[in-house]
Amino acid sequence: MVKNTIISTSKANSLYWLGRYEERVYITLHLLRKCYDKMIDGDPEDYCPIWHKLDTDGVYPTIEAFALGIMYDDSTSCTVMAAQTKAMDNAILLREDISSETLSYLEMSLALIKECRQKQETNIICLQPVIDWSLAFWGSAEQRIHNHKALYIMMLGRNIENLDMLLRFDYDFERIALAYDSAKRYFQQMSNIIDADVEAELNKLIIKEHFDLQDAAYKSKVLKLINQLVKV
Amino acid sequence: MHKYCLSLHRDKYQLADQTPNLNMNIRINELIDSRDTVNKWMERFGVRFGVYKHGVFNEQLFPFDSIPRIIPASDWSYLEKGLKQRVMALNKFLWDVYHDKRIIKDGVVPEEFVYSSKGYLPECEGINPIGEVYAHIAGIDLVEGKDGQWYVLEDNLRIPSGASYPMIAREITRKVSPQTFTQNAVAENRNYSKLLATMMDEMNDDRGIAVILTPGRYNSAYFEHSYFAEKTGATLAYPGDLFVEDNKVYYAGLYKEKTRVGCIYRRVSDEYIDPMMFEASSLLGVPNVMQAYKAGNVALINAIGNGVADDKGIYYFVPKMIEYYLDEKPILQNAPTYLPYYKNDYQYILDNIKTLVIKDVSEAGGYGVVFGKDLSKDKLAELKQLIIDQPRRWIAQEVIDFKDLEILDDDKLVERKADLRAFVVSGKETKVWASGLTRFSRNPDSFVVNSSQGGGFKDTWIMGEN
Repeated sequence: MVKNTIISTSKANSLYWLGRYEERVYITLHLLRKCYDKMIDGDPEDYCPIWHKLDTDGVYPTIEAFALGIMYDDSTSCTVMAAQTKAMDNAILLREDISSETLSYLEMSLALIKECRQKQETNIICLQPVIDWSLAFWGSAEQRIHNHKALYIMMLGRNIENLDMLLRFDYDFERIALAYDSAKRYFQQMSNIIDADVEAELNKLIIKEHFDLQDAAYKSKVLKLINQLVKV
Repeated sequence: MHKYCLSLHRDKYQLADQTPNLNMNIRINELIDSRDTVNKWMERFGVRFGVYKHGVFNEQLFPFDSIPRIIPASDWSYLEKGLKQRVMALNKFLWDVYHDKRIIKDGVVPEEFVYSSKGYLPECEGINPIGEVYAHIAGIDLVEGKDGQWYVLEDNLRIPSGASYPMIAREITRKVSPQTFTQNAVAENRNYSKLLATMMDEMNDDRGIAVILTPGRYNSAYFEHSYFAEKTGATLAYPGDLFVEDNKVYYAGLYKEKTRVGCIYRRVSDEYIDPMMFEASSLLGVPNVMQAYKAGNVALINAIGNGVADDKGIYYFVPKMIEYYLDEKPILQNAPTYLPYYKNDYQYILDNIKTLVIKDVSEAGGYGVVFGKDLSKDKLAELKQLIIDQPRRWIAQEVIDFKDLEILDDDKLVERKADLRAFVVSGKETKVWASGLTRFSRNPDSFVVNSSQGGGFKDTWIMGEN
């Protein structure tokens, strides 16, 4: 059978957003673990920074309510459940590109999150398999996606989301510069979907001399540009 | 005919082979134990089908019963010949209807049945599908009577679905219960994708890529569309991905890239396939694809207009078609069927309506099927009046007392009605897939096995000679 190497606009969009949402699941759980650790010795309100950095203003009376909210709440886009659902919504359209095996890790994750919601599990440890399956998903994707362009678009999504989250959570320059360098590998591979002007602007901003995430205007500008970089 | 049955043996279920010459060692306990694991794996692979209820779309798992339907080699050989014969005749009928109309002129099929059929599309007159094949994929629904006789209940020649389920069930069952397959010569069924891919290649003839056109994620058979795309290597195309230019079809890529499409396995109904020719409001089709098809620049699988041959009214004439086109005796039997159109049948139906099953020819999916025995006096009278008013709309059949298959209901072994959808693939040659979708009713009182009405499915094992 003649192999198609062309990727449609709708498929490129699904690949990109699959990469973003799946990475969001992983990072949100990672940050939650850190937040939980902090709350053991600190105040219940220590959840607030993480919540606010995700651009939401939910107020929870207890740590448990916060845990239930950020893990399972459907009504806001920054929860584990919402990100996993959206990753799945995109992945389901890509079975023949990513393979049933790769897709299965997301199916299992979503099923587990739903099951934990049903049981009202508040201990984040119950979602540890979601982290494991997320890593398995990426491993499987790299191994099984034969159309390298499709893989690059997904990896672009993953890297952009990583950068977005690191910026939101005020990671240091070294970490963000490294993440940006990692993303750049895919800019080169997929230059036709990268906005060259935005890239040029980012290149000027993500340098040691200008880097200042305490400057709200700077942070907001970099975040905005990061989200405008890919045209799918 | 060979018979197999499950029998309770002490506290164990055993598959008893009543044919001493066949050496079978079905590890039935292992299969029974594997049911939940297999269903879990099905969930893992997203094996679902969608159902619209009250306007709301829901996806649900298609319950799998791990005890297979077993068809011995000798039965299969008979079925295979009969299925091939039937589909070859149906393909010839479709060609004839849209070209010479010999069968109508010769009075074998009355013209009213052809031209009043909802599936007959005058727009398809004179179109020459590549290779003269119309029904590339045919799904023939059969039941096995208690006397061991197989009957064809229905031909599905438009977009028959369901082959993906036994295919993936086999894949999973082989993982879960490998020894069952090392010890039994069960014909491979995962080669269905190869059958499809070969047929698509033959129809494509190197014109371009092959695509599977899906209406989208919210179609009830979306899992199947995406699974076949994965397994055949075809591209899954969504409405909007394809366009026509100079009577040729293209797949649109990012930033004005495009590639020629030579073959479309379309899972979009006839009426929605081309808004320029059929339903103008359709957003699911490809504008002007019919022009490209007419010009012979793209193969459509299945061909457009096939509905005229799988109409429930035309079904009555299929045995006559076999004799007419192939000059052979039909190998497979229809269920005894009556057409109110014919005077004798008309009276018989009105006199015996209580014992017959009445089918509305315009319905599908198990809808529009009523059993006379289930109707009240008033409802029977109402139905009789409908038949009197619109005789062409109905067919009546004797209720076949078809064989029950044993299924696991929770942990109990119970008997339920089951049918078999066999798949026949026609490219340069007509081939019958050595497996099929066995659907069963979960309701003990029901003969309706459709998945859309809550039924489950089994794998179908075709046994080797030894």
